[in-house]
Amino acid sequence: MTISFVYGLIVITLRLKPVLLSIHGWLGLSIMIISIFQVLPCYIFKTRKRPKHSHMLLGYSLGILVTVQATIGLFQGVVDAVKPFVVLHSVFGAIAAFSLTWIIIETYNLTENGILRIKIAGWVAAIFNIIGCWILGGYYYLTFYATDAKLKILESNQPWAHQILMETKEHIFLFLPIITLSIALILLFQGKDNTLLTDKKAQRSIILLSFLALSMIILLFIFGSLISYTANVGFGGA
Amino acid sequence: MEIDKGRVGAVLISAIISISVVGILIIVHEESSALKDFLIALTGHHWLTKSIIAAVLFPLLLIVFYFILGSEANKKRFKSDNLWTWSLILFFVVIFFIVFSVIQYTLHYFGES
Repeated sequence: MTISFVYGLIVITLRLKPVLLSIHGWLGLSIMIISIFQVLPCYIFKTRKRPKHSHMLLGYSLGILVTVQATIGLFQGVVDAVKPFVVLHSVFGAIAAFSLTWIIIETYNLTENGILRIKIAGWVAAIFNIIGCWILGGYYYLTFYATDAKLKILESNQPWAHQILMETKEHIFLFLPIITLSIALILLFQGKDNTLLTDKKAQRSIILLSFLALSMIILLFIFGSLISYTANVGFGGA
Repeated sequence: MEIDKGRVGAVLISAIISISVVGILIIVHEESSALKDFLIALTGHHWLTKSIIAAVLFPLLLIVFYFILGSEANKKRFKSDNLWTWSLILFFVVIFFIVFSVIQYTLHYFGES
């Protein structure tokens, strides 16, 4: 992470741009500082008990920040000129994806405390998916996309970006809020007591559905990146 | 309200039916301009109508199935505690509609161009 930040710093310096003028730069600096604070105590303290909670807290914070940072970075790299609405839409999607990854990993090695954590992660995934992706994405799609990006794509020589990718994305997306909400509700039901710790079939079900939702988010993210790229670059008029 | 773990199947059954209804709407509206016009007439945009149908149908079915699965006989009939089977059905229903949509829009694209 430190190397990644330093590399980013060199690239930005060569372009003669101040690194801390962007959210991406600030996030990079925060990630580097947090990662240093996470690693250092491991070498300072001889017992594992003392830094355990702070280590965990920093680790989870890093996970979220790196996901957000990677999303912004990827979008800036692929799309170049990014609309704030699109960034927010994809960041919320990334947070939902991170929560689903969390559920998958935690369910593989489930503990008593882990049940509470996956319940929280389930609701985070559902809420960010519904509010962030569905409502925000839907508003963007119905207002800005329909009057601007869609026309640009259809006039370019790559209309498939709308006619195949966007048409598929806007429709299969409708399944995602139902799936993520189902995961959150299943965790609410199953996480009522500790029987989930030994119920391997229930664990497998949670992992399967989380994997399905995560794969869909990744697929839709790739579709979204290609659509935005086509809308911005245009590939020339038809 | 006390949560009855035996009724967890209500979530998956509701999800399967809701996704199937929305999925069928997606497929049929692409082939039938009458249905597309009807969906547009309801809210002004076919996507918004489908979103509202999904947002209303899932919680509605959830409430209905939660009460249906209140009796032991219905729990056995629907095998509501068999999470793995219902999850697999949901998984394949979603995959079917994703693959079908991609094929449908691709064929339409090449059919028009």
